[in-house]
Amino acid sequence: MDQILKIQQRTQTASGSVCVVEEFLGGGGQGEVYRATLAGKPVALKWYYPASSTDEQRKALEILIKRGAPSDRFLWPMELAKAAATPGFGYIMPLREPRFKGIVDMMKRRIEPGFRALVTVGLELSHSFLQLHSKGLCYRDISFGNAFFDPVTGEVLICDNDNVTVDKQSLSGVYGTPRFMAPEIVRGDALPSTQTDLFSLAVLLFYMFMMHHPLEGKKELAIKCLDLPAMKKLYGTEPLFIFDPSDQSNAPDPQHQRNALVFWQIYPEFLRDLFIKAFTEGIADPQHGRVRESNWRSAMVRLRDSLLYCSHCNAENFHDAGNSAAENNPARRCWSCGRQLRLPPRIWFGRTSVMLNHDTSLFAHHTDEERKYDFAKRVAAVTRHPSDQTVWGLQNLSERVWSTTNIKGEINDVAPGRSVTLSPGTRINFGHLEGEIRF
Amino acid sequence: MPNQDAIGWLPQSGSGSPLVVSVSDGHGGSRYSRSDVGARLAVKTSTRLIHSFAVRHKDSANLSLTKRAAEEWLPRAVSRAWLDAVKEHLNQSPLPDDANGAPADRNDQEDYAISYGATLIATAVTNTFLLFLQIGDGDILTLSDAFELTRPMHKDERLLANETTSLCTVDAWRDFRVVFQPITKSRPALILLATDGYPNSFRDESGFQQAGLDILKALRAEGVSRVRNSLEGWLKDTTRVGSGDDVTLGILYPTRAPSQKKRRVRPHQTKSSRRESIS
Repeated sequence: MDQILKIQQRTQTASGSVCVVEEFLGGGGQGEVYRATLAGKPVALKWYYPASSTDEQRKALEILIKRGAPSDRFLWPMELAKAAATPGFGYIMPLREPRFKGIVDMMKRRIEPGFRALVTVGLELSHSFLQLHSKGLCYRDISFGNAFFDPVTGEVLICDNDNVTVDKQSLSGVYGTPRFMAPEIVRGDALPSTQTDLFSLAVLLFYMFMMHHPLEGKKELAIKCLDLPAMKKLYGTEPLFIFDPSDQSNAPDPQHQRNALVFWQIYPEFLRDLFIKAFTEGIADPQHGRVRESNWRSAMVRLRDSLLYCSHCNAENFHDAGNSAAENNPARRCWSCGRQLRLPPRIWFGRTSVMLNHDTSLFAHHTDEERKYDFAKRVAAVTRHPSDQTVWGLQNLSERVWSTTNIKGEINDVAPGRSVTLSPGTRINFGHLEGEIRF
Repeated sequence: MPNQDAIGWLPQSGSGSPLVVSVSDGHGGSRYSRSDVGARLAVKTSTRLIHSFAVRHKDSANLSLTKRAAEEWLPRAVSRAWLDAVKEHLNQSPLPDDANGAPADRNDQEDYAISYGATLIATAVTNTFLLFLQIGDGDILTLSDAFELTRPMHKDERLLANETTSLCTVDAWRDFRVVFQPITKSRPALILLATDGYPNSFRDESGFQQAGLDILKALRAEGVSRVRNSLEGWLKDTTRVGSGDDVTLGILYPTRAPSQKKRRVRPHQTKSSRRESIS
């Protein structure tokens, strides 16, 4: 009714192509996004409100278009667009596929991804922002409105990239989303940078995993209206982690903030420790205390590898592998049904392990130290014996012949496509690295 | 059964900016024995909270900030305020013991809030933005000066047949739908907020939309007073031949021409229920 562009309105891109508006998709604080067609192909078109159609924004977009996307996970600006009948400008970007849903959709219960997908989202976000930062760029506005994911696979798409700037070079532009901004920005002491992006990333990850904001405990409950002064206090001048081990004055309220209390206990200690660091040292010492994208990335891989299913209710649980208290606790309980958990077989690579569930896959990341974080292709998958459903194996999905040594010292080759039975003590040489099956 | 619907607005004069109007529909039935109270508490707490929010943000130069606060904070604040109000009511007027003689459990939200279950639709109109919040069924319709119809709220696929999301569910904030619209050109010529009894009284969606068009035409042709006087009769007739349910309609209509400097918006209320129409 009150949209900037009309349906079927023609706009022109910088290269002279015609982009036709097809459908209004949504409006934000800076402009509106439409589904459009460019040379017959679907694209997204963002058009700025008059107040945001500035020369500075145009120049920032030109820089981004020239630099190109850090990876295909970013819905990056492709071309600027103008329209004869409408003032201002917009830009073209790839259209998000419908399978990608907002993190907001998860908050709103419209989708309910499992832990495996959720952890993959965390992994992809950490990896993507590492790639962005490695190019000397700063996102400035990491928040759950800007990231989308496939609830089945956990693949991520990062949108609203028009706010990205060269790190420490832009004095204006977007300062972020208040609840996700680093405290020093909220206070007005700093400008967005890769360091402040790290804080926002930690907030986003915490929010996704705990369904709750890391600074919104009892102090938030006391607020009558979340206006600017209240936000400044809560997220800027008096930020306090709800699970700060040395100060419980902002602990979650058991009635109104129950999610945080419930989810916190589900995750292994190594993840909780990272969050504690991010929101204690990371607040006190923005320069040196923040958890880096690479730390989150390795924690996410470890977390995904520690997933197991409850044999009673099938709920996904995490096992704190390598943590002596968790390893030596015979009475591990499922967080969902409360019954005792039975650990599946594991494959150990040195001091790290992967739970071998019915749906576990191994990637080059696991079997080749030279290819860390390469999850492009599966190299192994847990499989059932075709004629004896009680026997489980690990199928070779790579192109390399594995060499296995069983507990008796017998050596066998496992050709691509063949499987090795999961039995305790069996060692598998994947070519670059050896793993050992333990029960 | 008493009327399970409720409506509230601020400022109490029904005129001014920001203007906030809320309607609520108690679920009714024995499981929701206090849903009439739940609906009243819903409009009271939400109207107050959203009005306070709109006043504090009405001159905000940063609409992104206001949008985010509206989307991310208001649903939690509204559902918490409702739960606290329910708890207070419960303390003053405890639920009777259950069939086995055990006292009703007041610690578990799933138990104590269910009796008060209700939906909520609220809107705030300021000079710079429109805000719509909804949990559960019911409908919002806006019309432009040129009689273009828009349903600002996206559909919630979970609202099927008699199923509805509710303020009484655990983590109700997660079921809120929120739409924030900066005013870039002009404000709507009419906004309608209706509990589900009204749209359900029409054969299909187009019937409800036609009613919106008719109300705007009537307001322009006959003026606010005549529409106000006729509205209760219209709604009673509609529900009598339609859903037979309680009906609440909130109408926001600018009472001065758009070109004038100050543009007032006024809500009108008419409630009707089967019981009322029978008596």
